[in-house]
Amino acid sequence: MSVKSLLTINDLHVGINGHAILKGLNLSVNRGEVHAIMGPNGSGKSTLAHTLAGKDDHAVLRGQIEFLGQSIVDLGADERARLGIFLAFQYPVEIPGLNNAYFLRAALNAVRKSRGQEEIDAVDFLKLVRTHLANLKMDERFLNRAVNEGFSGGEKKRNEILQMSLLEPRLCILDETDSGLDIDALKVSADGINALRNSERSMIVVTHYQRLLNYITPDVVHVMVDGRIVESGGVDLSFTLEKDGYDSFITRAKHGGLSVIRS
Amino acid sequence: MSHLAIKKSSSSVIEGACALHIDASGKSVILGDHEKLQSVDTRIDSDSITVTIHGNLERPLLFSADCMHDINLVVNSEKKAQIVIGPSLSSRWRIELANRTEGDIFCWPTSKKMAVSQSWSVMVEQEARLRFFELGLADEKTSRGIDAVLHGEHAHMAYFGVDQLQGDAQKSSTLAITHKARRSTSKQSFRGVYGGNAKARFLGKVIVEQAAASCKAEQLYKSILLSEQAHAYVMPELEIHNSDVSASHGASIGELDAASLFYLGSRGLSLADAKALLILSLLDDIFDEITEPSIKNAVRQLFLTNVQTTMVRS
Repeated sequence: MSVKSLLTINDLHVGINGHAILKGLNLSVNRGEVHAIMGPNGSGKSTLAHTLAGKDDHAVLRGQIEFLGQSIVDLGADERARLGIFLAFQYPVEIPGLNNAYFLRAALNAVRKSRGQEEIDAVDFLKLVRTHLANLKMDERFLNRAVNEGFSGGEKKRNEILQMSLLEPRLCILDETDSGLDIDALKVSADGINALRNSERSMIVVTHYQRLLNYITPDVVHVMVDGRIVESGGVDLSFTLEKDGYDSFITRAKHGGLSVIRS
Repeated sequence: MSHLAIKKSSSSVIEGACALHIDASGKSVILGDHEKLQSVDTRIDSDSITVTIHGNLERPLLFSADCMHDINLVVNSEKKAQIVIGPSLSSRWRIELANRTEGDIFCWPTSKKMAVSQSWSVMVEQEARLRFFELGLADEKTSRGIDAVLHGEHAHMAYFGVDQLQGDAQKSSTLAITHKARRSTSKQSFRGVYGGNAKARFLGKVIVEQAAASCKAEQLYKSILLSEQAHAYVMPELEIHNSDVSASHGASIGELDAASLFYLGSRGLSLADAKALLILSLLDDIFDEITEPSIKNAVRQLFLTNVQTTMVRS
């Protein structure tokens, strides 16, 4: 493994309730890189995102996932999060009754503790979170609401990015962050995400559409079909997909005619 | 630990509370500042004790009894009375809210060393408002029957129940609220969390009599089971004898939501911490109804400690 490598996935097979979804997926992400994963419905993009985050009904049947040089296949979601993996959900879960500020501070302190940092008290947390809220053009009243309860689609996505920005993960996995967003909300979210880009932090951006990639420019674009990455390339690949769709990739995948290209 | 000692520690937990304790011989003992209890009269007869709140009770009153007398609590004050009932041996209780009075009654969790069986008779008069909080905790063994009557027009009673039981806890609650007067309103809201071998039974009933037109009644019970062995039986029931009534009822029993646990885990929270947060978020529905900050803080801290201890053990 190179010192630049953050995540390496080899021959990953994943099943849910006995159905094979990922069928021999390979992917390598270096530090500081942004990878876009595009593909038609049902190709396994969200399964990959949730598998990396450690969802326990996503059974790894074969293969290996290494993060920062260690296997994470046997780690729980919380352990992976504390190592620095963050999944921004396509459908963030609503938790009635759980105060957003209380939850955010609990999560931040869990991560800080694992990094050997002191827990942050309520006063310092408020100062910190206000800065992040301002950056994301979020109202402070978000803090006093229950987690995601009654939030609009855009508010939920911004709440995900708020969490990401507070927790400062090493790997951000964005699962269809653009879905349900109008163009203004998309720009705000993309600005928040771009502000988190640096030479040590990597991102995997899962999306159906090229639109999001106008705002978050990827280093590598992958096409995923039937549980595997079937083609990889530069950002131009996303324009080809936008113009021609996925049909040719699906057809060729069915006939086994695709090879993996890494630009 | 004697009950008096329990009272002392509880009154210190509820900041600013004054405590009235009836000892085993039937004598009253006032703990703390006597000035705070000027508005409370206590009459002790051979088989019953009547505590009347007639003035403005500025602080929460912590009341407990080590005797076997029947206890009558009469609220006849201008300001809302906040009364916390600590562990007590008395088995028969009566509450009366006079016209246009207001009171919050809290049944504090019982000690696990006491098997408690109580029956409560409640009378709410015209335009009076009673909010009754029943708190069940840890591995207690409690049976409590509450029979409430909304006797005057615009009388209101809200029942808020919380259980967080584990071990070999056994709890049985039976609640019946009878609307006898027009425009009376009632609410029953219950949240239960059961682990270990805990067994809980809750029967909640609303009766609207024929004369009680334009009433409103609602019931909502939510329970979570944390183990295969835990058992909860919940039955909401409406008995309506008048067509001019607005009534609703609902009940659910389930597990902690797996999607929520994964979401919290994906933010770095351990499974134990994630479960504790979800449990508290459920119970906060009830705690948020407590308006007196000192009582709310004490109740929440009590349950928080118990939830965290339970999750570490599990």
